[in-house]
Amino acid sequence: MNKNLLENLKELRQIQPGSDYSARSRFLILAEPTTTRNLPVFKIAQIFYRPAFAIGLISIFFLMALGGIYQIIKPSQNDLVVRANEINGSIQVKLNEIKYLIEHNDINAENILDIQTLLEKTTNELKEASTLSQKNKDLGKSLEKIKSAQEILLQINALLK
Amino acid sequence: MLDGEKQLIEQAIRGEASAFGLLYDRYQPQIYRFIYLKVSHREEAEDLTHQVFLKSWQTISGYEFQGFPFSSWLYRIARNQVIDYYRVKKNNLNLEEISESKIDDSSIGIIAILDDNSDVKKIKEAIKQLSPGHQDVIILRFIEELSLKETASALKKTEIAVKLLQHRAIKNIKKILNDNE
Repeated sequence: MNKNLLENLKELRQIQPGSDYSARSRFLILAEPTTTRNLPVFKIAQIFYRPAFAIGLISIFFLMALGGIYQIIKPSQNDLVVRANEINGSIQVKLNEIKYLIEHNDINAENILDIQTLLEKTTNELKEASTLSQKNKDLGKSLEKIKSAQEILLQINALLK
Repeated sequence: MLDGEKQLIEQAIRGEASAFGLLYDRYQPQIYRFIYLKVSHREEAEDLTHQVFLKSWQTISGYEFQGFPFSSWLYRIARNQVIDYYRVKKNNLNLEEISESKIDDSSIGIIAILDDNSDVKKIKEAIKQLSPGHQDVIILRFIEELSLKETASALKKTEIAVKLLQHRAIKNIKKILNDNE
């Protein structure tokens, strides 16, 4: 049984991808630009160069410059505003920490794309939070979005450490 | 590490697409096999394999030589890609539904030929029923015949942990095969 099992397992090595698919995939991959080995700062600059990533970061720092999403919320929503401002403050601290880690750590290549994806997600959450709060549609949902952004930033922080 | 592999990797790190192309030719079949046996669907396996190599090409500048074959790094990316794939699928389908509805028995070529061999087909079905960790070790140790050291590197585990996992995986697959008879 053992012998048969091992022999049959080896048979599965015959599984191969289709040659048409392989040729097409190879061509498409090699047509993509790659990063070359550089100093960490330049590596980060290359990530920043990606349009989606750049837009994401610009949005985040724009929100930071505004002093937070909840500056523009009506005062009648005091409790939510207080809570949101607390989280917003924490987000800004975390962003500063992330900025520092990006500048001073040599980021593992496997993590670069994950960090990029997470930053994009953060931006989307913050954008949605901003939209919800501006239209005063649903401040509770907006707060959830901000919390979600905060959690994603914690994940990024963990990847950078 | 295979002959000339280190040089190819160094060239790829410098951005030479032709060198990465050769690495692709060398490793793509086994990465595809690894993914195919885990997702049981030809087109999904093709898409995921494409993503693995695209990601590795885009991030190869950060690759560090640590005395392991390049494939260990690719397997790690492939595992993460499969985990993400199931994470996305999880909300819509559970794994049982996937194995019932998405099995690609209509695959052409060698897979269809293999399925004519009922023993091999049974083993392929049994692999689908294993946990992801047991699948990994069965594929890497017994199908790809990687050494303990290489498998440990690909799975980010110690060699002792791989031995234990391997023992349990074999026991499990035998049980599944017996139960299915």
